[in-house]
Amino acid sequence: MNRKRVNEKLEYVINVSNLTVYYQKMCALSNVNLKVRDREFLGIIGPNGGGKSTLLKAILGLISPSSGKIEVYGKPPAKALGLMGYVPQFTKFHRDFPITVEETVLMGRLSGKTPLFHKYSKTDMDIAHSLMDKLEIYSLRKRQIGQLSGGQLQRTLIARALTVEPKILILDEPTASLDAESKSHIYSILEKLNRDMTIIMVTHDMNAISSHVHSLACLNKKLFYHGHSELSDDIIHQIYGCPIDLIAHGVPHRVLKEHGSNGGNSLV
Amino acid sequence: MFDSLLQYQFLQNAVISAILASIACGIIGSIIIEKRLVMMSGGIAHTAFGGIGLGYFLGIEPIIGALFITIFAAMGIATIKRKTTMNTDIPIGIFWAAGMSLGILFIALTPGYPPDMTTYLFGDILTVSRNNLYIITLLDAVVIFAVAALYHQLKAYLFDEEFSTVIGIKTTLIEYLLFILIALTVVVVIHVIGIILIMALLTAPPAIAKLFTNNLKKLMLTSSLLGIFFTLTGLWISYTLNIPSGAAIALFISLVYGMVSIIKVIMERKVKSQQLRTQDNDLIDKPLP
Repeated sequence: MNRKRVNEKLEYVINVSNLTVYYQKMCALSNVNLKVRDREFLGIIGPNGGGKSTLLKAILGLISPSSGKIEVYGKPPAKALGLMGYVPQFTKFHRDFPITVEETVLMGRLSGKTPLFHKYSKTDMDIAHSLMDKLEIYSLRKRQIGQLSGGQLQRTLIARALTVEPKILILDEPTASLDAESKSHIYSILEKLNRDMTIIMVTHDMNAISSHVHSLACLNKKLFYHGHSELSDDIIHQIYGCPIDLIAHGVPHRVLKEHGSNGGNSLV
Repeated sequence: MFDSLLQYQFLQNAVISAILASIACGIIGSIIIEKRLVMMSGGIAHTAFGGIGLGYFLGIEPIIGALFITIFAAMGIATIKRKTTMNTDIPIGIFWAAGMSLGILFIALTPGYPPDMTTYLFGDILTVSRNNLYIITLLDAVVIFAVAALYHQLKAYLFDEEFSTVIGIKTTLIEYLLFILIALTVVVVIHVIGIILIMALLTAPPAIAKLFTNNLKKLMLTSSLLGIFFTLTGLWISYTLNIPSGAAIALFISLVYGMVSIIKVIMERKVKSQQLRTQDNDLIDKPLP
C-alpha cells in the first residue's frame, strides 16, 4: 500500500504528548510523544515490560496518565468512546466462559447508552453477521469460544471490535502464539481493513513489521524511535532490547536496509 | 412430610425460602464462578455475621443488620478490588475475620442472655418467619430484576471488562452493583443454609450446571433448578432424619458434586481411550506404503 508523502497539513488522529505513566512507584512510560496519522498502520515493538500495553491502554482510556495529554480525534480518550475498536490479547481470556462466537461479536454493539432490558436489533444482527461473514467465522457462530482455534478466536475478537464501527483499530499482539498460516490470514485481514481505518498494533512479530506495517514505534519506557518501519542500523543500536529481538529472530534483510531518501523518517 | 407441609406454616415458609434462596444463588453463583469471585463472595458472606451481631446489639431484626453490613462490606471489597494492584486475597481474608469478630463482639456487648447463633452460622430453615419471608422475597426480586435488566451489559463485563469499558459500558457501576447483589444474595440465604455453608449453595449448582450448557442464561436457570432440587431434598432429609437443615443441604450438595466430578473424570477417560483406540485402528488399517 502506498503511503502519501509527508505533508505539513497532515491530520493526526491520535496525539500523545509528554505522556508519563506510573504504576505506584514504578515508571511504565516516561515522556512519550507520538502522533498517528489517519490510516496509518503503526506497529509498536519493544521488550516485555517496555510499556507497550500500557501505551495502548492509555490511548484507550483504560488507565489515566500520571502526566501528559492524549487526544483522540482532538478529544480525551474517555470522550472518544466508539471511535476506537480494541482487540485485546486473546491468550488472556478464560476460554471456558459460556458465550458463543455470535454473542461475542454482538457484544460490540453495546454502548453506554444501551437501555435496560436490551434486545439486539435487526441492524445489530445484520452488522454482526456481515462481519462474521467477512472474517470467515459465520459457520462457527454457534460455537462456544473454547471450541475455537487461536486464529478463529482472534478473528472473532477482531469482528467484535469492528461491530463498534471504529475509525481506529487497536490490537495487542494479535498474532502471538498463532501458527504461520493463521498469522498471514490475520495480516491480510488487517491490510484490507487498513484501507478504511487507522491501525495500531503491538507485536513481537518482526516479519510483520517488515511487510505490513507502515511505521514503527519502539518502546522501552521511553519512545526510542518513531518513524518509517525500515530501521537504520544507528537507531537499532540506540534501542536496548529491540535490537536483540531483531537480530535473534533473523529478520529479513529489508528491515535493516538503509533508507531515508524520501524524507518520510521522523525521529521523535 | 407432605401432609405436614399443608398443615404447618413454618414448613411452607421453609419451602418457599428454599426456592427463593436457590434462585438467587443460581443467578449470582453462575456470575461469581465465571468472574472468579468465590473468595470475595466468601468474604462478603462472613461479614454478615457482624451484621447479625449488630442487629441484636441495636435490638433490630438481625437480618436487617446483616443487610446493611454486607452491603457496606461489598462496597469495601469492590473498592479494594478496583484500587489496589496487590493480591486481594489478603484484604479479603482480613474482612472475613474482622466481620466474624465484630459479630462476636456485638453479641458479647448485648445485655442479657446471649442468643443462639448457630441458626445464622449453619442455617435453620425451619425458623424462617413471615417477616423474614417478606424480606427474602423483596431481595430476591431485586436480584432477578437487576440481572434481567442489565443482562447483556453484565455478560460483557464478566467476559471482558476492558473491552466493555472501551465501548462505553459503565463497568465500575456494574461491578459495584454486582457486589451489592452478592450481598443481597448472602442475606437471602442466611436462614436457609447459614453463613458458613453459603459457599456450597453458591458454587456447586453452577459448577454442575456448567457440564450441561454453554449459555449464561441457561447456566443461571439450570443452577437455580439444581439449587431448588438440592435444598428441597436436603430439607426432606433434615426433616426425616431430624438433623439440622443447613448441614443436610450442604452435605447433600457436596455428595452430588463429588459424584458428578467422579463421573465426569471417568467419562473423559473413556472418551480419551476411545479416541486412542480409533487412532490405533487407523494406524493398523492403513496399508503399508
